[in-house]
Amino acid sequence: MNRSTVIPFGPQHPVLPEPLHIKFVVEDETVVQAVPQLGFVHRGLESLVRTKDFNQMVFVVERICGICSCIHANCYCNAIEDMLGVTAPPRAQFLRVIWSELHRIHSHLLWLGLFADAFGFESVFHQFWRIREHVMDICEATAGNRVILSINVVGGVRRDLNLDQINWMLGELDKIENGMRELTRTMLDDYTVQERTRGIGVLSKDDARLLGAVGPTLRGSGWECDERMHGYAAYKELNFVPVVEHDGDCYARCKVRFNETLHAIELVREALNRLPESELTVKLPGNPDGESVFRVEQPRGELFYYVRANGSKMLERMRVRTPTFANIPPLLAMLPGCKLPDVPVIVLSIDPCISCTER
Amino acid sequence: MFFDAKPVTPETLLSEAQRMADEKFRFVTMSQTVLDERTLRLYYHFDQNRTLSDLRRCCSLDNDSTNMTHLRMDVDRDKPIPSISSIYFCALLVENETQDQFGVRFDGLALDYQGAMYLEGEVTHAPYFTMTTVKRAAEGAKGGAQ
Repeated sequence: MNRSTVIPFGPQHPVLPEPLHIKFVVEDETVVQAVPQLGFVHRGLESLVRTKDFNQMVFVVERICGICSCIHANCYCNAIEDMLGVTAPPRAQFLRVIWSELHRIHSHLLWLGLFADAFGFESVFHQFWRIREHVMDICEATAGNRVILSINVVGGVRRDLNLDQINWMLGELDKIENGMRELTRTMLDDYTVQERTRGIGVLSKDDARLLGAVGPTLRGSGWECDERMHGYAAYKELNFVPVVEHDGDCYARCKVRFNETLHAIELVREALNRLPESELTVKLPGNPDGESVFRVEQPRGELFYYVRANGSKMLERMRVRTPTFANIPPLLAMLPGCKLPDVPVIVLSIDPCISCTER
Repeated sequence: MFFDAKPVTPETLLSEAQRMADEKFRFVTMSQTVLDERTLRLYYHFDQNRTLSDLRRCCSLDNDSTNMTHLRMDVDRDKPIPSISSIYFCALLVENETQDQFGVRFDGLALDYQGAMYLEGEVTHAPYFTMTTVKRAAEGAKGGAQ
């Protein structure tokens, strides 16, 4: 008869960039149950709406998560703009897409490197992170910062791109795309990568929907579901098509992210070439009043904001549902039945971001 | 601006959630807002899972909220709230988070952290309800409590 043992995974673990703790009940090398423990980096950022006005909150929401800070701000600004009944000017909408997609590219490149590292492919880790530096350079040259860009404001954006910057960015995007295409065979066709990822951590199509999966985790299980399809910001003007895979395993989720990176490069290129002329911001009619919900697509999946205001400068309530928060129940369904050495690969396959999750 | 939400009660919540599950809606999340010192408003947000071709064929691409359905329920903070985690397992985290932050209690949670998912066991005050109560009392007393 097998004897059950409880093994703690995290909060400090070599494959985890952030503190997540999961208790595994294992029999021999097989996981039979997983129970998550959260709260190591809970900061209560949502409650800051009571002390910061709705314009200052843009800077707070950017600090919920560094890696997708621009997209947090984009979602928050859209929610407030909805309440105020204003729309950001067309050029601002395109610029929001450009910086959001740059964030998606560097987030996916970071993840691809970490994922390769999780199953011991350290040279690929270095290669992806080398390519990622081009994106960080673009962010620094255009927004003044590598990670937290602070380009979104309620009603538009605070920075513009000139023609020289656009031409230079197009050249850098070519370098990123070439680097990615050189790594395609290494990452997607390699025997050892497939051995470690194919058929591991399978999430069926029905389970993905019932368990509330989002982003590449949901699309890797065959669902064509991406908030960019709804056409917020300038996505309705661009040739956006969601990337979908059907196997539902770690390899499928990896392939979704890999191909999404290439698609994001295309989107940035298209947006740069079609950047319309207009103002960067609109004048706000006053303070927000009412309730609003808004969803955008982060690198890890659907990001949801609910805001409630009463006509004063301070919001009454802000609620953020981040993609990793939604992807934890599917993760708990993927883990039972797997072998212990596959645990880091499966956990990383949802691209966990605990700063986002706990806020 | 407010969004449309179908009102439900603790008695009808589970049947409505079951109907959403039967119609293949995806549970997005729940939002909470304090209405007064005793009443918490809960919104349950559901997604209709439309494909890109559905969206291009039948829906406006200008308004994201058209692709969501919301349920609204006002609850007394001292009365138990039925958990929908038996229907949508993924609701268990947000329901546990609500227990932590607002001090309410959900009945029938699939995995119950007993109000200690984020907070340490020794914390006895729900931070979000307490803050609201303090703030409103302070407003009534012209900032005296601050």
